[in-house]
Amino acid sequence: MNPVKVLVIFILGLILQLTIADKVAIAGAKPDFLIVILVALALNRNVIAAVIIGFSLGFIQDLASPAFLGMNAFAKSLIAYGIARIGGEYLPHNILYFIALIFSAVLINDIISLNVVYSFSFTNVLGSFFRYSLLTAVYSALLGGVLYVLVFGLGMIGVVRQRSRIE
Amino acid sequence: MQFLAFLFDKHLDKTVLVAVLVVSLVFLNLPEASKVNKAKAVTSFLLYPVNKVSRYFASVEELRQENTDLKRMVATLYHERERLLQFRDERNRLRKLLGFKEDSFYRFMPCEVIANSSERFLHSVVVDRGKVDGVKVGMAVVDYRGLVGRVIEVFPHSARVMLINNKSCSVSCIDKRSRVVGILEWERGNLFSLEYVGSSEDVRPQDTLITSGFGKLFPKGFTVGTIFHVADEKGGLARKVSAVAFSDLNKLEELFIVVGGRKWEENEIYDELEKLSRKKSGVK
Repeated sequence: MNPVKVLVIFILGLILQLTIADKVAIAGAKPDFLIVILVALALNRNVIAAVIIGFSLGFIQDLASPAFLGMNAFAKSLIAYGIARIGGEYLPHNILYFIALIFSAVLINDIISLNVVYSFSFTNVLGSFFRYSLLTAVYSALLGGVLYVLVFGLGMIGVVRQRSRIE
Repeated sequence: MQFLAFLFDKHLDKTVLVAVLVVSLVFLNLPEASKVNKAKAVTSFLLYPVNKVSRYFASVEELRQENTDLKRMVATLYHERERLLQFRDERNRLRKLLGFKEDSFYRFMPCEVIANSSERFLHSVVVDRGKVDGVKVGMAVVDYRGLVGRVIEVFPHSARVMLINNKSCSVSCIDKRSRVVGILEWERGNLFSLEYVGSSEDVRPQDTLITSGFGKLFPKGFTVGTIFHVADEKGGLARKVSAVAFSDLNKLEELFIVVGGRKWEENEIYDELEKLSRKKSGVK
């Protein structure tokens, strides 16, 4: 995938996050489109590219709320590294692992973000984590699953045929 | 060297990760005002193409609005012209009845100033039209506000124009309102005095001065300036009338040479408009 396509997906994710996420929030938990996109992009890349994508995506997200400039860049770089290192090399590519990766990624992202926002105040971090983060993680993971089906499910036949031809 | 090889050859992925994490932490530890400023700078840089595109569409919208306004203006002018054509016919009939000679109005040749004179009291400019364009000595030169001067020298591709703010130039003018005649002479800057106006003549501040056409140096009817001060001279027979030129004679750029007249009956512009409207409506 060339950088232009990555940039287009970035922008699409940002637009979704800034416009739709608030409207489809359930009990204060909103889906994290950016994490879904990050996981999808990082899975199929080498570690360096994944880290750069994670940093860029996080940094762009930080620009929207510059009070914590660097927070999302930090969290998403780490997540991208983890996904590219573990998910890309050791886990099989299927919908369940994709959902599990999104779930874990959202939780890690929230743990880092909440610690920065609440300056490592354990009670506040824990309260917000159980109140919002778990639900956000579930919501984002399910959304990721739906997108996975939509994106790969529709092209699955073609992909399988291509693979069998290569093998 | 070994350390660098260790960092960039063996563990490049971890080095990149550490680098971006360090950069993130540096950003995170910046003072809040600095963070906001940096975010603004980066955002404006990233959104520059978006801004450019949105500005383009904004300008398209402005042009559309301007187009609508111009169409409205054209329609108004169209009706106005119709009315004036009726006046023209009536005027020509009356002139014929009175036995006056038929008169004409003017054709203009646009030109640009390419040089200014350096003399303090003998102001002139050189324009980029000359003999090959049909310019002749004596032709009047105007800008969109009024009279500027007269062609005094013609070269193949350029011409020298003596401006009215020249000590050797006098312009015979008429007060547009009261038809009082005087000779306009330059004093300083953009200021002139209207000479030979009798103490009993009706001239007032804010009256407009137009060329009289007397002496045949300048064609009749071009606006020249406006009167801003009138004073009676003590015991004198004349009035001291001060005027200011409409054209800013120190900042001339685009001018028009009055190259000749055309008959009132010629309908070039009208015909062009007709052609345009026919073309638009698809009628041959």
